[in-house]
Amino acid sequence: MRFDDAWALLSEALQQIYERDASNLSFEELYRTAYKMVLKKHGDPLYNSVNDLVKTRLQRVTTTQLKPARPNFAPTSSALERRESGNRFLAAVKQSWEDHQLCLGMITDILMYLDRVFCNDNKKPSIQVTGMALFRDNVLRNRDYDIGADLNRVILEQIRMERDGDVIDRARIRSCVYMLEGLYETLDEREDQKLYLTKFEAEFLTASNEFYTEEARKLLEVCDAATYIERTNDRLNEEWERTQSTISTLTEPKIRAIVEKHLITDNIREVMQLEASGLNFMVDNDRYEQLKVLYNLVWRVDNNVMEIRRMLKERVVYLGREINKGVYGFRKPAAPGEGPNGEAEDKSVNAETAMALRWVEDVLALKDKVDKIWEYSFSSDQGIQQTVSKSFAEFINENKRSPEYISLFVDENIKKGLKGKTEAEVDMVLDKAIVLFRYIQDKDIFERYYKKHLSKRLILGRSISNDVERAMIGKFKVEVGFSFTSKMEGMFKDMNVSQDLTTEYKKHLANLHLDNDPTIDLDIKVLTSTFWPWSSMSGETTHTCIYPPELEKIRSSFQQFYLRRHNGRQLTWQPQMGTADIRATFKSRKYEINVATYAMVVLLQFNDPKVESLSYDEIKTLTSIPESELVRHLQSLAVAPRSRVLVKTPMSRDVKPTDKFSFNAGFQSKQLKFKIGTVKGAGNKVETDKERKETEEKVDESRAHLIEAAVVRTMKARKSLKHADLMLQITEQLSKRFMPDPSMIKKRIESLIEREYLERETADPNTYVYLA
Amino acid sequence: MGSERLGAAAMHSQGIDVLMNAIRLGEINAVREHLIASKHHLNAVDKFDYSPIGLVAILFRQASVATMISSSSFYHWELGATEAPSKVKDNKQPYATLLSSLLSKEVGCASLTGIYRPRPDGDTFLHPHNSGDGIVAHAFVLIARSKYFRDIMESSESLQVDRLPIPTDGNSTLAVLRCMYLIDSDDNTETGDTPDSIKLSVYFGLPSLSKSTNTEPRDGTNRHTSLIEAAQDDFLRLWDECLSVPLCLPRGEPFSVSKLAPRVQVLRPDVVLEVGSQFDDEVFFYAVHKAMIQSDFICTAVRFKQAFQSSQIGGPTIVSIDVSPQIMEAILKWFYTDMVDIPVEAALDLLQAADMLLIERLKSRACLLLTTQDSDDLLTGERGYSIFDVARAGWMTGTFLKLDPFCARFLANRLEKCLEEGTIRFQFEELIRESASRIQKREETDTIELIDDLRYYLSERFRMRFEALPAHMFSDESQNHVDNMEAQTEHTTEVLKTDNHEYERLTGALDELLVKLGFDV
Repeated sequence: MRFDDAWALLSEALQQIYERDASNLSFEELYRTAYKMVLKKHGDPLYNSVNDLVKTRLQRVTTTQLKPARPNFAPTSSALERRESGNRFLAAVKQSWEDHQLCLGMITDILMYLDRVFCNDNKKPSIQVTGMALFRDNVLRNRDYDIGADLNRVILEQIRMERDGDVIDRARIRSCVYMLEGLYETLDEREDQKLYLTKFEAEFLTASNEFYTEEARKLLEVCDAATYIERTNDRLNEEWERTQSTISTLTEPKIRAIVEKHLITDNIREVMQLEASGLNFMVDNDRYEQLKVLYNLVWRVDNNVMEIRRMLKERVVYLGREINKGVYGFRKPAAPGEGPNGEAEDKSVNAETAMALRWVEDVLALKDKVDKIWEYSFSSDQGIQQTVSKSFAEFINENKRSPEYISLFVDENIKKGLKGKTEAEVDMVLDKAIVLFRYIQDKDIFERYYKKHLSKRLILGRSISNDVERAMIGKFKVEVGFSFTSKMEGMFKDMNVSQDLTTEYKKHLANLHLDNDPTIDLDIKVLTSTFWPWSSMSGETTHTCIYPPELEKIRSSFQQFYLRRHNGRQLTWQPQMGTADIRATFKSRKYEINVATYAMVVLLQFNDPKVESLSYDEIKTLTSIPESELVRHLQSLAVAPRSRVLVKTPMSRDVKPTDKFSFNAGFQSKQLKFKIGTVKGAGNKVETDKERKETEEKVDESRAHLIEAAVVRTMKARKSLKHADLMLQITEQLSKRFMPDPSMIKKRIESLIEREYLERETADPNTYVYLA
Repeated sequence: MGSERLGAAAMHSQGIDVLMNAIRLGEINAVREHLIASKHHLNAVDKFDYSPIGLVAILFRQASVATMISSSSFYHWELGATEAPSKVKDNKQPYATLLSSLLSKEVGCASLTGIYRPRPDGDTFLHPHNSGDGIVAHAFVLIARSKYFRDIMESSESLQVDRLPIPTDGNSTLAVLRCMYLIDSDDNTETGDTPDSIKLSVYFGLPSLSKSTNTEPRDGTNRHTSLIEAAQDDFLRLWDECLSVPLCLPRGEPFSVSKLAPRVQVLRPDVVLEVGSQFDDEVFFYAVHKAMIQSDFICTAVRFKQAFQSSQIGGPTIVSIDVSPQIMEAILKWFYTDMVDIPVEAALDLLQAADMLLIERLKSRACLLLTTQDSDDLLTGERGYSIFDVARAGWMTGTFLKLDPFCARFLANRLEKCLEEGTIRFQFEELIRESASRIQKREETDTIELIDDLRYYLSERFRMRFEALPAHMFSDESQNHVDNMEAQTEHTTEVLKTDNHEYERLTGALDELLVKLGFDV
């Protein structure tokens, strides 16, 4: 077998393949020919001859098919002309590539044995790989015509046209891109050496960079925020689609980074700050969709969306301060305070209570609004949630009365007999209250108010239900732990124990068979003094009272009964807190009247028919009720028009020590049962300035205790500690309940040193040492 | 126990103990002879519960391991065709995968080269009552594997096989098909969603499925192997009865499907292989299936031709193959049954044909067949080919890694004859020259590969005998040993001396030869 003969046969066949006239070729014969050539050690010349043939062929294709189709880049040509000529060129490149692939495939099939055996044994690149490299060098990098550069330019021009809104033939570009992806710089065909990456992509990215720098400038100039983010979103989608349909998906992350940089990173801050349409506008006007798009855009470049968080915080705090302003605005005229002047102060307290409730409702409304945006537009982003919490905490704590207000709000919603609210609705409102509670820094102040309000509800039986109250306390417990709620739970326990106690006492009385005694139903509440907010319940005065004999008898009977059961305890009676149902006979008819215990004691002084009238001083002596209380009760019994069961002479609004009081036998009322309240309302209201001052003092006092306790606890454990470390530890320990004031901590430390719990280390006065 | 006694005993005894002793003493020739004489012992165990292969592994007798592994695979593959299930694990999996990949796209067939891709779709639709489109299968597989379909084919003139024996659901039908196609269906044998599969398999006359659900499922490997063997049997019958008989036409007469025997037509062949050189008067046409072809050449030829054929009416694609009918039949039988069935004389032709047709897996099988030969007539070429032909074929077909060691060992064991003046010596010298000429291509070494191998096996040949001698013979204290050892020691020392002398003589002669041929020693 001569090489020349065999090659003549094969080369003839390969030419036929290129001429698309291969249907009559005998595959078996051609394969066998190549097989035998390899066996006869003609592999090398065969391999070279085939490559030469392919090379010649490709050079001819370039000259005859591609050169005439080269595009027209003349600046004078119209866009349409340029597009048409570009299209023709792309079509020609595509055609030559497809022809090459098809023919090379057939050649590879015929020369399979050469590939498998000769190329493999001699470590030569396969016919396929060499064929691809030949296409690269003889077509795209043809010495005479730079087809590759033309191709890049045409593709970029067409993409630019599409970016400007024209329609282009994507599929045609894509097939050329596929070609660039199928060709490599070297014969080992490394993935990062695709011509697409080495020759095309960089040019594309440069062009894109220029385009989007300009695009960003234009958009910012003409668009409002909503349009800007919409356009940006469209551009991002467009570029993504381009990587899927026109160029290679390999470019996707790179082009995305370019668009994101120019349209988002560089400008989004400015866009968000646009006054009439930026983030503030969107938040104020609940533009959920726009905010959502905005969020998604910012999220692309910053997963923490810091820019949004910063601006959102500013806005929320601003809106919160607007709500706070209502409170300050209200307080101002009342601030000079003309002293505890009855009605005027009452009125202002009522109004402020209403305002306090409105404050809470406004804050909750803001929270609802922000939550909706957070959930819908911000994909419930955890970081934004933190920001929202911080913002709310910031302005809520700026309002020093927020703990009181929030507790009042709970009181208002938990009170019995609220119209039109189901228990479930109440529960929902209370959940919201808990959210606000979370934001409060001075939890100890809240606790103080809450206990005060709670005690009133419990003693006056005003709660909607015990379950709701307990549920609420359960929620506090979850939030801040057992120590916060233990006293409140104690209050509940007292209430339960008292109920049992009352029942048992009744049974005890029944056993004694004291039939001749006047029956008095005693409903007693024994309160453990440490659980209850004593001072706020009783005021500063010590409550004394001389009970009329019929009452004194039952009081001492119960006292005996109780102390027998609980040896060693001390019972202190709190007449200022009780009420009594009394039956009173007037000229016209009998009435059942609900009065305060003190009022009952006063009225009983008139029970003796011999008593005509009593002066203020006489009543005071007889009952020894504290003066302030006595005045108030006499006011409600003798001054208030609808419940004037006593007659005061001379008739005036004030009660003076010289006034005389007598039984008003001619009293009439429309209702058979009614209630005589004390002058001060029974409901929970905001504190007056005076009360608040007291509360503040109490808070400081208890904080002082807590700080001392914490200092001693810490020092006992650590024995010796630097000042700064101790401060840090104390602040950390207490911050759950309140933010301790450093000067206060210092004072407490000084005080502890004085009392010789601690001392300063002699060598280093900045270090404290615990003294056992 | 002396080596002489052992060697003699090995020739006569059939017992496993003999084999084990030969292994312990490293008598590699005895081991080989024993294995060739009676292969049954390969999987047996002795009274210490050692298997021969286990023992060689422990003793680390390299040559013995090689011998045993090659003969064990050979042994097993040959037996697989007939009966006697062997416990030696061999690789039937490529064959099963070939079949499975026809039905299930999930079966990967990346490991198989030379198969037609994409895998050919089925040509026959089965219609279970709840499966609208029907389930597609391959007629030749159905006929091979099921008596039910075979009967239908034989009786039916319309070639319709889409009737099912009982009305049934798609899942059951598919389960039975999976079994036919050897898709391992261990997980699917729960009858929950394939209620009729067992019944159906009985109708189809598929013993394997019904049996498999009854026998203990523990021995999964064994079960799988026996399922594959059953399939091999089925395809062997199909081969013997239908496919092995080619259509024979006088040269020049065009082929047409209608000229095929009806029982072949019914199998719907899609490829026809034309065999017959231009000097023959007759041409043979083998009707086959793309589905079973494992030759890159045939697959590519079919694809190439079909690119120009697509406009015409389907019909099988004809590919002419330049081999003898005997080789063609051996190759096709292997395609269908995974069995190599050819006289040893044709083994070399088979290797060359497999190389030309690009059938890698068959090349290894042919090499195995070649390397089991160990008779002196290989030297003279009385069998149709000589050991020198084998070596050259190894170089030519890229199988030298398998064949070179065999040839070198064969020649080392008969070096005396190679060095005698005559035609054998002439051929031997030619081979050394050719091996030397291969150095140019392999840069990493500058020695003649064949000579390296020869020296290695030569030293192996003699070293084995030294090691078989009792250890004390090499120590100084040997003189102080008990008397009854003395006679024996004397005898073995004698043998040792002779052997040593012989070894030196042979290496010397080899060196001389090399010098004469003009190579550095």
